[in-house]
Amino acid sequence: MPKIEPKIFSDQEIQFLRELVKFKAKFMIVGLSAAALQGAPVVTQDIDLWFKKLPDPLLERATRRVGGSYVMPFSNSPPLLVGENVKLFDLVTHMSGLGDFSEEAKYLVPIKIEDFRVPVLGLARIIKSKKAAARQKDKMAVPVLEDALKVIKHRQ
Amino acid sequence: MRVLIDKIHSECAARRLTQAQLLKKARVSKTAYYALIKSESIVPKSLIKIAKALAVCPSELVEDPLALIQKTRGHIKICEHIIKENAGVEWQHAWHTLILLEEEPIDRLRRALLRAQNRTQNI
Repeated sequence: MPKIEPKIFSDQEIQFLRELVKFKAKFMIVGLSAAALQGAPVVTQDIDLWFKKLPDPLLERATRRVGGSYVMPFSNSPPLLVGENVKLFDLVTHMSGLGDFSEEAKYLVPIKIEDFRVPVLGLARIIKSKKAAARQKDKMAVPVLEDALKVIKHRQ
Repeated sequence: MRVLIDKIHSECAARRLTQAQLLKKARVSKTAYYALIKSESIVPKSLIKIAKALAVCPSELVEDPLALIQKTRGHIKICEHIIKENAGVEWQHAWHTLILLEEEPIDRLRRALLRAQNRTQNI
């Protein structure tokens, strides 16, 4: 497969994740971005980050390091990250069908990106949460995720 | 880089092929074959110089279409095995996952993001 030119998910976005890991922030990548990292052939518009607790000063610090800002939830809007180098990241406050952050931390898979490892929720747990989700588009992703998991297990 | 004549002979012997049978199967003329084995180097000198500057073997800088075909056949076999062992698994899902597993995780993520971006642009 031809190499992807790094116009999407740039060095600065990688740096943001690197800062979070360096600061030992309690977070994990979830959702279809987590599934993609593990090899599932899915499409995703953003990278979902689940933090143990928000607001998180370490998150705010990492965001500022790459020129972004953390915006606290306001009225009906969820917590947000704003800034060119963090716009691909969404903050998730809850995962349908799963336990709390500490319970799900047991299922973390550390995935190597350049010189560090980022915590990613295991694919089996992503599948469980998609099955429990209310949105049709989440449920529609389940068959490809389940098939991908079978392939990954076979290869291990 | 010269052709390894002994290697050709030993591969022929392993397959019980004479040189004439080999050339017929490969559709290579005797003239072409002898020109090949007599050449000082079958690799362009410029490529050898580039490889030397990089301290790598010239063969590492050359695409090998046979290797790609063999790899693809290997993947096909794996897919068939997975589908046989797991009823209901879709061929496309298994195939694309296998291909992605050959890539670095960051490149898998980039592909997923890029596809989403392209989809949005094509609407």
